[in-house]
Amino acid sequence: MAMRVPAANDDVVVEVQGLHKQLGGQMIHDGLDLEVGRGELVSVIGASGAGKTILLDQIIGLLRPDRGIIRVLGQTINELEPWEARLLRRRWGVLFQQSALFSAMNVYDNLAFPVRELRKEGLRVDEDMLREGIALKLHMVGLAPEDAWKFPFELSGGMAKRAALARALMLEAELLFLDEPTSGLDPAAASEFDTLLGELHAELGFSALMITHDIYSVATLSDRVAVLVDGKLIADGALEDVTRFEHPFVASFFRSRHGEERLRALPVYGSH
Amino acid sequence: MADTPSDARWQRDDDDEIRLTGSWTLLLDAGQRRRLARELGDLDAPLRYRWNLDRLDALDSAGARVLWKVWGQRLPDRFECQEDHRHWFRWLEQTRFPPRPDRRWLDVAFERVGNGVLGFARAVGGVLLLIGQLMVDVAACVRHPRVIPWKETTATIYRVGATSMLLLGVVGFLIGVVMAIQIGMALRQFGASTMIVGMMGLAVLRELGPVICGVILAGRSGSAMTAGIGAMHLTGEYDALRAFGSSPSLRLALPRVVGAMVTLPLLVVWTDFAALIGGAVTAQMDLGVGFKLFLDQLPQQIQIVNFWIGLAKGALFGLTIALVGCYFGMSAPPDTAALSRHTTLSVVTSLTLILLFDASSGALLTHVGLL
Repeated sequence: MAMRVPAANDDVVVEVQGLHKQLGGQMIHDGLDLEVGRGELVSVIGASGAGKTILLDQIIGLLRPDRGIIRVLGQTINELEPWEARLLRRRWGVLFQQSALFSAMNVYDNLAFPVRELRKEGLRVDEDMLREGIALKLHMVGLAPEDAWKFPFELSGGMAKRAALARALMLEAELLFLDEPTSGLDPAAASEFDTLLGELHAELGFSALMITHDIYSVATLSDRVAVLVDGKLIADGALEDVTRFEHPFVASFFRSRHGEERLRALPVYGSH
Repeated sequence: MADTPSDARWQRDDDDEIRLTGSWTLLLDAGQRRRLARELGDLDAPLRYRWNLDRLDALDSAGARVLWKVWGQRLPDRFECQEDHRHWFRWLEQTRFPPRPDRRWLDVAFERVGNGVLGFARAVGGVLLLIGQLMVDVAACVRHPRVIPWKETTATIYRVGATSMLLLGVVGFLIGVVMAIQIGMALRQFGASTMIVGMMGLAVLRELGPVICGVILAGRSGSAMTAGIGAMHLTGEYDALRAFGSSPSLRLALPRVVGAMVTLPLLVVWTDFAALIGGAVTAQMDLGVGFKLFLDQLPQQIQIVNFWIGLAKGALFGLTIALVGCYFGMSAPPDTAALSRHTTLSVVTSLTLILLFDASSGALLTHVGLL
């Protein structure tokens, strides 16, 4: 579904080419290439400390790559003027690992935040409109209207994730970045959150890049899986193909007893 | 998109059908949104039309909400849209608005005042409780010397003491210089220049040394204690500490309180020294009271008890700063705004208390005639 009319040649929403990054004298990314197509949900998996979150930070412009090109929604991240970057940032949403809700604001104000920021740039959004938008987004992520007045520390982990997702969707993002969306949730809450993400992805048709090491999220949500090991993507393709890829990390990730059991239990496995 | 004006249009066919075209992405386009809402809102009985959304290029939540409002919060009987857009209306149908907590200004005013009073009472009670808890902790340390938090205490002494020395030295010296210049001008008129030694000595040892130390340390270390302990609530470290069965008061408050009580008197000595050197240097250059004379006269004109009073005040101020700093840190709720509010409160409270204690001790000791 086209939320916005795509320009002629932007079938690729995220494009990373030859990314190199060193941090603290340690090579994190060593010639990494990645693509996310429009409407696709791509998972990046990798061991803890493999540089998954650092990859995300570079894509959304929080960190500068040492070398390489990163294009998001057709624009090269590190060549943007500040105002261009602001315009671009409105078109994507980020769900942070720790939810990163503003702890001093209630859920309502957290959701209102991105819209109120727009006011500072002269875009007028009246309060009624905002309230309706917030109500709708709360409903979309499965929160009760009353939750709007709660503060982040009064929310359970799952509710905080939902609120953070609603905030990421406030500006109708066409591209979502999900950093470990289910980390810190119990299995039931995690699978509910996966289901929610899957439904929203199907309905809204946003593209998404998900960083995760939850095998269940990978299997239920992703159109494509990329494996980050030693600073490169060693495998990139449909889940089935990636699980068969010969590499110690892939083996330990998917073919551990734990992983295989969970994969077998999934109806979706094999349907790709 | 925000940057390009949306091309949302509508037209009425045969007075029966309303056909929408273009992309109705109106979230960031307030002008279009209002125009369309006004135009459609002027329709007479909008629900009698057939609404055809089949040709829409795109529809966002704001576009859907404009239509939803025109329709009076329900779907028209005759309505067509693409499958891709239907979810908006399904969601809108189920959405309830967050009820705004309904409060009158009088309630709010009462709540403010009440919260202020309660907050004050809570703070007083909390500090008293903390003192009690610290006594228990001291008893525990006496009975089981193994639990004495040496490392934290020495770390506090270093952070509060050693790292403040340069600042206090410079400030003390400058205040000594300024005081000597000002007092010297008055004394010279009476030809009583050597009196500067006694006046400077009394003022510095008894009042200025401890108060300068207290004020600077309240800003420098009291705020750091509150922010440091308060941030542990945000990161969950505070709970982790308790989960291990460690007492936060023993591990966090006691070392800071003891550290500050040990360090502040030492810093008072250092500040006294710096201020008197400043005074002596100025006296020599400005008044012609020699350096040696200054040092000789000092013990003769000033009773040593004034020095000890200064030290005792230092310890009292150290206790105040650390107690208040730890209390506001330990009682901070886990959110960023509360943490900054508590840090401010901590500094303001310890400054007020320091000046209050200084004034009352001065009045008490002088007027009661103790010393």
